[in-house]
Amino acid sequence: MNPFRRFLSRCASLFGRQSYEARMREEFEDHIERLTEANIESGMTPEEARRQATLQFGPHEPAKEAYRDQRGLPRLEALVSDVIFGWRQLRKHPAASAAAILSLALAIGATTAAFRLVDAALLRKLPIAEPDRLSYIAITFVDREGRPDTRIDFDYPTFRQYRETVADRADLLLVGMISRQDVIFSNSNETERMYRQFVSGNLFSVFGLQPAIGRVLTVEDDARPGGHPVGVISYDYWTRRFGRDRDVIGKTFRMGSASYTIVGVAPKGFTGTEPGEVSDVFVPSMMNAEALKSPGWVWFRIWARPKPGFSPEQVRQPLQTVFTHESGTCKTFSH
Amino acid sequence: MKEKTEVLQGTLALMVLKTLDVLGPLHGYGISRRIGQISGDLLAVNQGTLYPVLLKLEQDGAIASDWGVSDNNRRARFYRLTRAGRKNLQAETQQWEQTAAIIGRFFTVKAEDLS
Repeated sequence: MNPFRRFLSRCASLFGRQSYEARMREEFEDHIERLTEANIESGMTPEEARRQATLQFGPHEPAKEAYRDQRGLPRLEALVSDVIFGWRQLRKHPAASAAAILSLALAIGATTAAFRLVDAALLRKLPIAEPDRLSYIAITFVDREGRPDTRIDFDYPTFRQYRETVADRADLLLVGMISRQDVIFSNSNETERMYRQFVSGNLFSVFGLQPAIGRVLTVEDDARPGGHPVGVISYDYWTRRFGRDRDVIGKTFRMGSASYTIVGVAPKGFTGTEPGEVSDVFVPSMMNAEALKSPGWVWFRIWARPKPGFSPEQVRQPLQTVFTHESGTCKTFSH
Repeated sequence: MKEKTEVLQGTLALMVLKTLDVLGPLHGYGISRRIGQISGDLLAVNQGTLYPVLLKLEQDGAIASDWGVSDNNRRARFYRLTRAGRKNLQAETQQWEQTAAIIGRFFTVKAEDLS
């Protein structure tokens, strides 16, 4: 009939198991009782009457089985008995069970730990001020084969133009691509690897980040091309390489053609701007002196945070105007 | 001794419905006895098999049951036909009669009738 209703009724009987068993037993007994009485009335001895009644009723077990199959959800009940069986087996072999449970627990623990890592690296929001108000600039265009495409990397002349265009509406951040560099610390002769990221001087203040020790980069650190050989190292790098030695401030290292001085350590938890990637050292964008004057040399992304009272759309519109103005140039850079 | 006939589950359900329709609320034993009387004890039904059928009918909503007191003051589970069950019975009766009529015709038809 109504399958839903049958399901409900079966569910109900699953929980009312005890009462159903009792009901079944009572009904069976009552039935046999009445049969016996009828048999006695027709002239049998009580024993014979009882025997015949039992025969007439038929074997109990098949009836009970059919009755049980009928009520309840057989699969679910099978599951319940599996669980009970499993529990008994566990109790029987405590040592083996403990080992099995322990290995399960360890495996689950390891998985959880791995997930926490991924969660921290990929899924969390940046630990910075107002992450929701950050946008990045992307240009969508149609490539030579007529397919829509997007680019998010820019050259410095474009950045400067954009920054001037929206100066009153938004802070634009230069967020360099992370690249691996060979460095040599002044008190050591060994070449080490460091992940370097160029950032504009306003990045730390816009992000609202305070240094763990020393200071962070400022706009003043990013004013003259090649003029500010300073770096802020990440908290993780500080821990890994220097064991959180506070004397790290003032240490120098050679990277490329310049000798940089460590001026501070970024706050704990700020591992960089890219999910899944870490920066060891942040240096002012002005230190990439050659690239500053080169149109077409794309080496960073542009993030934007609208000033109070402005929406991302209000930042986008003036940029759109600039972009349309010189869209021909932009297209040639894309390949 | 008369030869007994195997009874199909569906048929038994139909007999239960009809019995309750005719006699009103009845306990399991009563239903079983009634079926026995009507069929002239021709059905080889272990009476215990009636209960799964009753439960299925109840879950389908065709019948309902409650504890009650029978003759000589004994507690018994009484089954009664629901409205859905009555409708069901009508539909099945019709279908059964149709089937029986068709089968009947096959048995009565003679070769010359077809020519």
